[in-house]
Amino acid sequence: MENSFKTVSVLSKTVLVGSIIIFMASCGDGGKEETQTIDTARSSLIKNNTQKVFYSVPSPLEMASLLQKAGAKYDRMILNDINNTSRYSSNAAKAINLGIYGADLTYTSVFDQTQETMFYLKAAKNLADGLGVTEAFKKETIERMENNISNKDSMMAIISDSFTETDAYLQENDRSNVSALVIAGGWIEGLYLACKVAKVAPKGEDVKTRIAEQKLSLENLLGIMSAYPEDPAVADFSKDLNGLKEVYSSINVATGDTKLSTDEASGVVTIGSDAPKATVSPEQLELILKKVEEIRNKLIN
Amino acid sequence: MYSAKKMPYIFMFFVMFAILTNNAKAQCNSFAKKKCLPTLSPYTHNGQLNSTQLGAGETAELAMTFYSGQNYRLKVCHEPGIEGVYFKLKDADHKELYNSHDKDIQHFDFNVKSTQQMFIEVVVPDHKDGEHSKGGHDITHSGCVSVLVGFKP
Repeated sequence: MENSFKTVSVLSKTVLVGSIIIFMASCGDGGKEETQTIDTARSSLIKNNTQKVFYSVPSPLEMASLLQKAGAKYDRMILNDINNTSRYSSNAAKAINLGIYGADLTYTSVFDQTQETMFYLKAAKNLADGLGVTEAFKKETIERMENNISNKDSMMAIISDSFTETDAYLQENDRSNVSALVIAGGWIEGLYLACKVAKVAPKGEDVKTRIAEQKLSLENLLGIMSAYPEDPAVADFSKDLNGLKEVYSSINVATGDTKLSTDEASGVVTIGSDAPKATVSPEQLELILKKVEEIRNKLIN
Repeated sequence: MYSAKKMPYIFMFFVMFAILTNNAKAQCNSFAKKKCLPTLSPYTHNGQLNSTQLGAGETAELAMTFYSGQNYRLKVCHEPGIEGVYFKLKDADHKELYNSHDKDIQHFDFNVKSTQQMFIEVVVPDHKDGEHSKGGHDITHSGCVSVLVGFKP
């Protein structure tokens, strides 16, 4: 009887201590209401071996850079209205639209729109703070941006740091599923901006090529999302992306034979291929834009 | 009563395991940000941290699309104690294009003539027990490995 009492006492103390430790370990991980947290890194195990797989998609920075190089023009009317931030109350909506505003922020920065860059910075910060990702747009980061607003290269580096901090924080707090939503939001917005730009520039073949090439990145994005099938927001978004994948099925992105050559002076390797450029017809572009717009409107409204 | 005595310790083991797993992830990301990320400069990081703990004999793979007209820097970093980490660059069909094994390279700079999907496989070789690293560290057989990609227009 005395031993049983001692055992119960030890058990009670252990459960109490364990509960306190678990509580402390989860401190700072605010806002789990609607988006389920799933304790997994953004990687998945391939059957039959121990290989861990990561998927990566072009960041909004790279997308904006590709668009600008392709001759795209700036149009602020196609961006998500900054006043929409008040609509996003669930964590899933905040995450997706953090990605969307992140893409808009990058777009305004790449096209040297300093005033609008500050507006979109504020919108992104608002949502990041709402998700508990306060490091991404902390006071020092905002000051760095304000001091470098006219320096495109510096702004790209600072915005890149913010994306990295967002990804890191969410992964470390077992919210990789939320990070996946941020990435997906940024990607769909980048594609939306490209489609809108291509529509008003009918001769912009380079922009259309970039749109066609997103067929490859879409597969990688679906790979990222596939790690979180239990998350309802990720599952819903994935369903929409699979609908987009069907639209892309008629577009061909050829591969060709790949050969390496090295520039002896710089050490830079060129990976050459004889594959022709991917193209998209006006009809295909229209279908892609229609589907992307449908997905995007659902996300921002 | 004997198993009841052990239960608290078993419970504590699982609690500590959960905390340590979370901490390992945080430490891995911290390693990637502090030690690996700065070496991408002047290339811009794509914002996605691909870091994980790998043990001897394990591999990780990064699937990514690389765009024509862009310049890329690939950086594979690992904690001291796991040695001989190397990577293979493969095309869309998983045909090996480049292997960094036995090449002393700090980073891999490249561009692509045509936009294409590629795979970067990172390999941690098996090591013998008692073997020491080149830096004199005990080879721990597992540690943080990070694969970062930067781009430059």
